[in-house]
Amino acid sequence: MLNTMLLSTKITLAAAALLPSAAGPAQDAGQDAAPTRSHTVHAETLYTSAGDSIRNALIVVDDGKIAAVSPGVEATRDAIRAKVVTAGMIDASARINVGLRSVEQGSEITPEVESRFGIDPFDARWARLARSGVTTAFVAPLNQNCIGGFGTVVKTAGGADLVGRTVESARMICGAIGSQPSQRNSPAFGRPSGLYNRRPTTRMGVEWEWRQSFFDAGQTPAEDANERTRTLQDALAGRVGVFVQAWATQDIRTAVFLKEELMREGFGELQLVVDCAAEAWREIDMLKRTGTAVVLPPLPSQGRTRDSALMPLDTAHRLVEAGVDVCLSAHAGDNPGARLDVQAGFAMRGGLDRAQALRAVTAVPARVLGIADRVGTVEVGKDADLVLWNGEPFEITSRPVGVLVGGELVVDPRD
Amino acid sequence: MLTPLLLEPALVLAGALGGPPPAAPETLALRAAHVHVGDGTVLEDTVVVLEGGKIARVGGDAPSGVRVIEVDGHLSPGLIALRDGTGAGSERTESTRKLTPTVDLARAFDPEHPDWARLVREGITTVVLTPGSSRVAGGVGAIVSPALGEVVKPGALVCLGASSRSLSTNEEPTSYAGLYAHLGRAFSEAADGSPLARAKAGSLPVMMEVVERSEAMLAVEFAKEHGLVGALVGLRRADGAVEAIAASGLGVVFEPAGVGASRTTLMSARLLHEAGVPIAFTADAESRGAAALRMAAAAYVRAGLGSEAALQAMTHGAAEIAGVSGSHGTIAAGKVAELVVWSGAPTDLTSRVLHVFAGGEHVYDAQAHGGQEAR
Repeated sequence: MLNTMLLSTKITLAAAALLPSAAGPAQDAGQDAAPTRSHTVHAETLYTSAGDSIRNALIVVDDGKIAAVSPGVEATRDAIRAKVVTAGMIDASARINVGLRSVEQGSEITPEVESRFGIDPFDARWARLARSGVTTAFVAPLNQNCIGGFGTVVKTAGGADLVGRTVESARMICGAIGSQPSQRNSPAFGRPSGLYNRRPTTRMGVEWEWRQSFFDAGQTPAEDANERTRTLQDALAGRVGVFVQAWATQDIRTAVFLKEELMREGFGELQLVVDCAAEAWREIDMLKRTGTAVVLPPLPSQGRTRDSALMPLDTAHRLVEAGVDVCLSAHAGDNPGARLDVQAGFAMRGGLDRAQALRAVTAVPARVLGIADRVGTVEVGKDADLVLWNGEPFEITSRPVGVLVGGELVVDPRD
Repeated sequence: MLTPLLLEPALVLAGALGGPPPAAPETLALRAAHVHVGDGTVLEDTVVVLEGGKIARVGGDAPSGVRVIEVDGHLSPGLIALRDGTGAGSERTESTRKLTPTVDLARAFDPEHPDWARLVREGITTVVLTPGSSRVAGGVGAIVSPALGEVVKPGALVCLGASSRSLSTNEEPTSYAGLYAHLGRAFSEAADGSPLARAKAGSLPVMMEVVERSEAMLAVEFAKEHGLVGALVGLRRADGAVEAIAASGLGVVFEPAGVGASRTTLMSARLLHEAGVPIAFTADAESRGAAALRMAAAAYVRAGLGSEAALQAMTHGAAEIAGVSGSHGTIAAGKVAELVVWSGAPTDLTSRVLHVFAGGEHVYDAQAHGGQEAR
């Protein structure tokens, strides 16, 4: 009971309804009656994100995993029915961190910091995200540092235990190129009065910090490397990805040029993902050439995003057509347009077909984040993260009516 | 033995009148209608014998030839306030650095400070003097007796700050990750025998300040990793985190709650108590007034915490968290003679303190103090 208290009324009721069936003697002693993680779901249409759609699919969920997917089967009596079922959506840039306290500004370069320390498992936004059909989220430290630290992939439901909710993913250090890391800073007049006096004040200075830190890391013998340097060396060796926020054309260029320069000089090859890549459509060739994946920010209402970057409606379409890996994101925003399903609808309006739009919020972010073995498609053996829709996904009249996260029914369509 | 430090003339005690301080407190007996032991039990019509500054016996008849004070009301252990800074002001916070784990709060204790009398008048006989909330490791807390003006136990608890209060945007660390990086380093580099090393070995309790549940979860994880015992201090709500806190073995110390306290905060004390988590309250008398401790207890009782559980939180529970339950916190043979005589049940806000005994000495008598308005 206790771990349901943080959820909204509707979800609490759903969990409470499950308790009688889950409170049998087989439950672990000493635990609150945990909700069951075994269900049967029937879809008139199942979009698996892994191939063709399946009519009349029966999905058997056992202990949090997808145990069977049977096509052309009628619903069993106990099945939870839905018009359409898809994999749970993945927000590759969810931003549910605790703000300034999620980023260690004692230095501009803190790649070794773990964003999980800045994630509040009780944040009310988790329940909202789960209700909107997002079952997995990538959370970076706030973008106030040039290199802020490791991002964390977290399931959107599961209560207080953040460690239990974490999905083992590709390790990625997150940072920003552009105006964000410098915006609070100012030169010191006389004696420095705080840590904001010694930091870069321009995007040029930000880039210099990136370049300098990788240069230093590249020059340091492995035996002399501390945790910070070791992390940067791992990034140069491609063992750790680099997730860079860059909205405007010049910042996207800077990120890619830095990668190419480091390669040219023999330092190594960064595995680059550009987050908030609003103007990626201006540099499609460059992104293709370097195999750089992008995460698009939520579509702005007036075309202009941060740093005055322009993001037209067909941005996702143009990038996908060119063969760039595109993930959509909603930044866990709180206005109705900043929902991931609505963003996918906008991307369709801009030219993506439904399968492409679905992949941009499921299979593609799963691959980019290195979690495709667990989530992103509806296949046997994957986590039972499912969204039950009342109609075709991403239509303006459609919405998630049921959500399973790791087999747990966090939104019950029968309520 | 110092003379009683309650300083107003009206407070000078019968036993101490007209002569030098006695070498040891008088042996005496209290026969009370209700004895709240402090561990949740209440004994009716029971004799408590004080001898040599300690409780010699509970129950049986009063020994012959010994003065017997008849208590037509309630007797409880002296109240214990976890976290207070009375009289120390800014002197309790060493602000040159965020981590000064070996700083000794006993040095900030001003035994002569007149404000201590206010705490004693509210039945508080034991106080844990702690550093301010803005530090990550502000020093070792000292257990002091406000009535006797003595340090009961220096270096009693390691005080850590793991809440947003310990973070600022202008000084490292600015983040929880940085805070725990600093703390982790301090613990791993702690010299043998130092407070942090002893905390790591479980021989010195910690008080870790946390406000939000997410902060509590991180603190619980850190405590588990480093084998810490002690308590979380300042938690505003525990719903959803009760299981994790209970499993950690840590106690939870709540801040004084007034009439405006949120229901989730007030309910949390009950949830934790029911889950077997030791709970206690801070006093913070320097900012909230000496009555805040008992006011808080009453607010929690109103939200469903049993009144004996609330009293336990102010006595035995607090003593357990502070690591002094062997000597403080209950009315039992062998414990120090720190007792409060109340006009009614201790957690009833209409009850008044009639007498206070500390170290076996009769340090406060409301009648002798009569007529004077509480400050």
